[in-house]
Amino acid sequence: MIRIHEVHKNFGNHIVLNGISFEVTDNEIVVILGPSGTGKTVLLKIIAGLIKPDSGSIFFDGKALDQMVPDEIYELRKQIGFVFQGSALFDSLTVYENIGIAIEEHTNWKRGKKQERIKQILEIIGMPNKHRLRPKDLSGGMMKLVGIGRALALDPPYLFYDEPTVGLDPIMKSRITELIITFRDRYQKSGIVVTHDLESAQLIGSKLYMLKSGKIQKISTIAKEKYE
Amino acid sequence: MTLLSAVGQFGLFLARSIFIPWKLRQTGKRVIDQIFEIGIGSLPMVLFMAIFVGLTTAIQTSYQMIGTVPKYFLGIAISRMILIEFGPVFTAFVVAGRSASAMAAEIGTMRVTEQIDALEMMAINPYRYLNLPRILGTLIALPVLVVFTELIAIISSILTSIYLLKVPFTDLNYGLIHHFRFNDLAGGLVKALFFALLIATSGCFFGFYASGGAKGVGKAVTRAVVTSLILIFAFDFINALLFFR
Repeated sequence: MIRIHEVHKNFGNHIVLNGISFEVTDNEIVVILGPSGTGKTVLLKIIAGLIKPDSGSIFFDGKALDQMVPDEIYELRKQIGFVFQGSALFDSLTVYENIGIAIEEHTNWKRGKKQERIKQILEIIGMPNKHRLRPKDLSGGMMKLVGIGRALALDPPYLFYDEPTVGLDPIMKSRITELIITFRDRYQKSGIVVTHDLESAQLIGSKLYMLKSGKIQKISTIAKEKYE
Repeated sequence: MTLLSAVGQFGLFLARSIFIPWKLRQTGKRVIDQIFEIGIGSLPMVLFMAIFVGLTTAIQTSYQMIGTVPKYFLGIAISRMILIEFGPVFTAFVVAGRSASAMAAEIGTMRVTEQIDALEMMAINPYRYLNLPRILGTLIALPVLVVFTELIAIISSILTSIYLLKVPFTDLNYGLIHHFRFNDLAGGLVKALFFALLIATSGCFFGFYASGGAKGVGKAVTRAVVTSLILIFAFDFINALLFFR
């Protein structure tokens, strides 16, 4: 479970987050909605420990992020898959290598097992024959899919998505939305999605919050049945 | 930023990049890539530079010496100048211009496109993944390049002295061989190791803290090269004071 407690963040005189609190329970996806520039990405990066809050705490299964030593933070991050808004793929690596980088770094798996896992991920994201391509050869939607695949590599229980459907055509948008729902329902992944796409948010989210003027407000609880 | 805090940040950055578990299985391949990138990649430029350093050193040294001191002094002067100063310093200039800029551009682009954040989120220490291989790669490649430069520059000087300046080979050889001091070669190589550390750390440091998109990356590249050159000049002076007085 992730608990966000009274998080504040200012950039100079500009108040970005003003006492944000909410929880993400197991097998639940929390969606943070809000217009561009309201601090959704900042909030997600604070929860992931990439940006330090001015005050407030983030708890993962009861343990405060700001009390963790660097090694503990690295261990925690193996439990989180992060999908970046711009995909943040490594330009010099192929799709296969991008997906396999965390496996290469953190496991002692034999070559066959690594290949099997990467192949499995490529099939999940629907790109089984694109493993040799480099990011420059991919469309925006495909890059997003590879970003999702990379986040899945170590099979983390939490997935964080930063604007997963922004700038995509309707077909790709619905493909990614369906993938996120599959991860939630079939693979029991919890997570946080920040987006300004209300349509996807309603399908994905177990809980919806609106972030506006630094404050967060719960919109509604969406029952899984609604999508089904 | 005061000079003291800048030096502190630079030192801290270097310490964070080196004093970490190296994980040789993962890091080794990237170190080898860097050795090839820096070493083989710089070879044509270094070769060109070494030939002309040798030519110019022979002509200018002879201009200053011939007629005032015995001819074998030309051999002594050429070897000492190349081994102690020109070899390490000019090679470091080439590597600073070529590799420090490439490191700053590559790491800076990764910073502004969130690739470094992505490494962090995959629990991969970016200091180990990005900086350590570049620092180790430069530490290995630069001294090898310096030896190559010295060899080519000395051969080029010998040929210039014999065929252009008409200095007898026996005189030249006497100066080169009989007055060769191993400390000159070792001192130059130790200097090269420090230059390598300064060049790689500058390139990685300014790339790592780049911000502000393409313009920010451009600034990082400029700062990396300028800082490398200033540090090479400064360390060269300190080294001369400590070891060659």
